[in-house]
Amino acid sequence: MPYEKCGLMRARLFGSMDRRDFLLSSASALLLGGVGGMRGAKAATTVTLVGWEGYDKPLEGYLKANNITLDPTYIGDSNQIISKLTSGGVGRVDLVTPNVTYVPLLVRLNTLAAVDESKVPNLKNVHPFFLGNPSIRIDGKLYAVPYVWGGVPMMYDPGAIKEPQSWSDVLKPEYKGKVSMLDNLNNIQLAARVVTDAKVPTRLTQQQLKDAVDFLIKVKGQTRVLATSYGDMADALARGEAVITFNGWEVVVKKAADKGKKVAYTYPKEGTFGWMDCYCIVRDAPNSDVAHALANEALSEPVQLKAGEGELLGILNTDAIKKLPAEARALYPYDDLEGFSRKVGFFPVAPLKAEGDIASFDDWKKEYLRFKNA
Amino acid sequence: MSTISRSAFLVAPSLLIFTGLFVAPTLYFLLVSFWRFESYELIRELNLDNYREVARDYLMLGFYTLFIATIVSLFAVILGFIYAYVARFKAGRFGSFMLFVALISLFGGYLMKVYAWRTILGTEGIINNALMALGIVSEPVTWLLYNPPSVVLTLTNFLFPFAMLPIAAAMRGIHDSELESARDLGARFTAILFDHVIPRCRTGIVTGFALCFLIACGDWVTPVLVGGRMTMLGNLIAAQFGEFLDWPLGAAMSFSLLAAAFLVVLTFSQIMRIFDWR
Amino acid sequence: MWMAVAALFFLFLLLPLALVVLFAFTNRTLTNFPIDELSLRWWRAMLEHPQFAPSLRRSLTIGGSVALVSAVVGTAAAAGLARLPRRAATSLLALLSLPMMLPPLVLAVSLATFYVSLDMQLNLFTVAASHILLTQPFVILVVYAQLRDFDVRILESARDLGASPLKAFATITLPIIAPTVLGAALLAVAISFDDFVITFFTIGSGNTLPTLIWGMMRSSVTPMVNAIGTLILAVTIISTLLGLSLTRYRG
Repeated sequence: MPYEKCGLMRARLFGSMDRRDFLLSSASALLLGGVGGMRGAKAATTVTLVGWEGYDKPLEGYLKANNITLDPTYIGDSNQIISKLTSGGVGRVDLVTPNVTYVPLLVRLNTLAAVDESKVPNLKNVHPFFLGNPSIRIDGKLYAVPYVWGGVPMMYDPGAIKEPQSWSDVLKPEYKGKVSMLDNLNNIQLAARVVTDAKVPTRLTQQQLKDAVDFLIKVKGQTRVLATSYGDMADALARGEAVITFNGWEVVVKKAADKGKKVAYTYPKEGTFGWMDCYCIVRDAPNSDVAHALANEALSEPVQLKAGEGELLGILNTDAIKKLPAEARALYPYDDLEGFSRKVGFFPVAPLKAEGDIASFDDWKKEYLRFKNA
Repeated sequence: MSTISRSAFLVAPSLLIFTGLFVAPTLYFLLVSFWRFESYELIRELNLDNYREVARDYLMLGFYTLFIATIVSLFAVILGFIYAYVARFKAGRFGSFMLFVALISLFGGYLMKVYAWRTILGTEGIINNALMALGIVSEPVTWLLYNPPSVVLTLTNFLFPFAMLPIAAAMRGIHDSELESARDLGARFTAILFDHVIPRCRTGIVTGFALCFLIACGDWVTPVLVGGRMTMLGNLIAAQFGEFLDWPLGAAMSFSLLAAAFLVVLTFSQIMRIFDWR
Repeated sequence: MWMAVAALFFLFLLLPLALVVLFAFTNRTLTNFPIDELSLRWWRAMLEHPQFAPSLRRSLTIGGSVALVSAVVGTAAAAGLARLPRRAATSLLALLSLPMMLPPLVLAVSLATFYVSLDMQLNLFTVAASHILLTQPFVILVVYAQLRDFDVRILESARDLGASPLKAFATITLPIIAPTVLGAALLAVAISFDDFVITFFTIGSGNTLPTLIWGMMRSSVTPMVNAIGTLILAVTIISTLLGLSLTRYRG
């Protein structure tokens, strides 16, 4: 009878509906919980940052105290900052932390906003050596707030080898398979110092560029694996898989020590380059004021001290430098920055467009691609 | 509403997503491969420069990538065939459990699987530990990791379910009775294999190969994590959308890779026709 | 003898995953043997990591919305396909499965290029939309398989009793296929939650759990990576297990 059939169907209907309802509602709860969670986070100010992981750590206290949420995208290479900003980042990203060498390029690409110095009063506490870096000011306007710095020394295992003297030491046959090389375009600068006589290693002719990359390809043959980060490099040294490196960072000493390995570094005779990561305000930043405040806070003594002490970064707040504990202070040549600058150059990146015979940044990238292909 | 129009109405959203999010972007990407990128600007002039560059500079890398992908897919298909055969014909009820395990493994992660091989093959990994404990070597063996064989091993491990499952599905259609009568007629194992089993799952084998190959040829994560200095074309393509920004070149590389992959899969499919099922 | 072969395969398949989980409980900083003692240290570190909670939230949000949308769209499409002749249905299904046949990298970068060229912001929405491309064929396949064998006579008798097509679907078909749809949705969650390549290129800013561990793998390689990885594994495997048992998938 139709009536019975309806009853049967209704019974089946209710039975299944209950289970379906329950499962569907859990799914929606999951979804809404996710959305609700996100909405909750947005009640505070959200600052979008594209930069290096770990830099935001010393700022954690300040962020919490001022109800600021950081929405970071971590990069493995400053070039990724350029990529992100030129492909839709302008108007959406607030802060970036590029190496100072790229600031002129970023300004040329119209991706940065001039820093309102009145909102960054802590600038006056920055050591003059770093404040004097020519790349942070373009046409008289400040575009970068220096934050931390470092050199690019050669790391080595003092228990396994004697202190190396030259970048070309990595080519020694006894080091085959035991070289750790960072996968970074700026290695070209190091190679240029070894095989060319270019005065400014970021201004190379096409031939010098080619020679430099040829050298890098030779070094690549000595490696087992390209380190994609300094963490990788520390790992390789800690495991004994590498005894010498091409490109390095003073903090690798700490990273390796954390893993139980003693590592040392040296600035080879040909010299090297240094870097200085800065907070830059992106053009049309949605939270420009908060971004300025964060950049300012990054220069404050407590934050700089945390960066220098906790992360062992090279810092530039003069008061903080004085208060550094001995171990952290010994890592960087604070007392002889002039001598340091003779061995370690801070150069702006290759020009955006080729200038005469000088290779453009595009050429650098093409050549580095050749290195990657090898 | 007629059946067809009602069907059209129901399938429309899926097709819309498909067209808008797949067809359109792919066509646009193809267009981009004919443009140029200079000083961080996309220059919308049609030209063949990118393809010329691919042919000039990246041919070797392309072939190498296809070569690795082929080896990986062949291994995966052979292993998959063995596993599917065992599951279907030798394991009885346990067989569906075997398939189940493989199915779980299919969905169970990508990154971590690749990363895990570092702990197996590394200088302080399981294999080295075992070798040292057994006294076979006095120092850890370094050549297990950060080289092409480790990439092949890792990719085969990851792609194995992709190859096995289509083959298993195809094997379902083989009746035990058919094989038994062949055996009763005195056919040897290899004959049964080549005359009956393989022809019946030919499409499954080709599908498995194709899936594995297409995933393997574009892989860039595995070379980065376990390949050491090894580069596959995928690494360079990924770089064009990360540190470098040469989209046109990346697009040209991608489509060249796709075209080549298509040729390889087609070739494999043709070769498998030897086993054409009468 | 065959058991030995099967066992070897199981080892091959499961050893890597087992190791990932094992090292999530080590107390050392290097992911290597020997393990001195088991500890929850890295799980605590994971929970304390400032990016963990936001990444987890993002992964869940994307997974939930992908599952929901693909379930609805996929079921509708499966219902539509079920009415078509076999040949047409399987061809359409093959067409819709094309995105799965591309190398994920190529799909990812072409989508990213497309979105950016349209001046769209890369965010969770673009990620979810991209995932749906991959999950909808799964849902359609699974639901269609069941609908194809569905006995249409039940539907016809409902129609005879005066129910509209929609009502017939809602009261008869839906409850029967509900477990399958839910199962397929769970599989969609597993696919989306685990996805790395597509997410990496289409997310813009922020992280999901897979992109978070990728970033960690490249900067500070500690067993915290294993902890997060184990979490991802747990979610995808449990989701898959539930999903498969619900769909009673037979291939």
